[in-house]
Amino acid sequence: MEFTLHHTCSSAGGEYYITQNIPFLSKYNSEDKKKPYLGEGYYFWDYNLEYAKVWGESHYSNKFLIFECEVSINDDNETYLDLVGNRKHLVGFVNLLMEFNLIHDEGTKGIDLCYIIEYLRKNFPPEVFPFEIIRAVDYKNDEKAGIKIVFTGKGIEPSFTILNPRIIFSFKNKDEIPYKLKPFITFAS
Amino acid sequence: MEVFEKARLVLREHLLKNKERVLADLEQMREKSVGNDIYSYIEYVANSFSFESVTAFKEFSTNYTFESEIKAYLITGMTNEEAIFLPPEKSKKDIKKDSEVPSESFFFNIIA
Repeated sequence: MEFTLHHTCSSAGGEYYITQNIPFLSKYNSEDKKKPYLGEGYYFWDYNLEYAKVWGESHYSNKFLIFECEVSINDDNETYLDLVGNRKHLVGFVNLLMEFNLIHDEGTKGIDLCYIIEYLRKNFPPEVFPFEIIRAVDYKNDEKAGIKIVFTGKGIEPSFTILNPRIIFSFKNKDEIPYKLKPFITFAS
Repeated sequence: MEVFEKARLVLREHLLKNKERVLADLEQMREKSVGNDIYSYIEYVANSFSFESVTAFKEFSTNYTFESEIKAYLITGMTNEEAIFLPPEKSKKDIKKDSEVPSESFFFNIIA
């Protein structure tokens, strides 16, 4: 499957340096308590130029560049964990976490996902968490931005869907991002 | 799904071999976490369904002995439970039997 992705970065350093080095790694920073959502990696928004701008305004004091690229990921890629559109992956991942309940009732209860992913990557045999590409939804998405829409409007709490989900891609290794079209600047603040 | 099955097996083996170390690591991560996780979601979903909305008979207890059960059956031709739960219509002879309803459909009726 092919995806169009957007990566936001600070414009500090100059355009030449940035274009030669994008994307930039999101890593843990104990000083400002920065914790990448899906562990350390190279982050993109899944086809979301609008939110990439919002991110640049809020995180880089409105001095930012946005890069667009296209990637192609095969469905049978065993390093790809799709926590958005593949329920088999979702169920498989939850079952993996449930294994921790074998050694204690609490399991992974109360532990943030970013720590769990890093822990699985760094402290276990590689077969335990072979995933290098992770796709997930950030559900912190208010009604207006999320375009929350009710299916039928029936019931006290009607069922709904979100037409503008905020979807994140995280790539563990820069050299293994499956580009179909290399990143290019699509927006400069 | 093979990749997940393999991952689970390797993880399980590692967890059982390194139980104490992993438990200490989990506790350390728990302390620095915000703490909203899949369990909160599962609890939320579980709480979203309330059995209070389901109509059912109340539980009750009776003094039960096997001997009294036999005695009652010999006299009435029915067990104590049958006598208690027997709907009035059943005493009439020409009752048509209701269509068979699979037990799982009860659940579907509740959530529909």
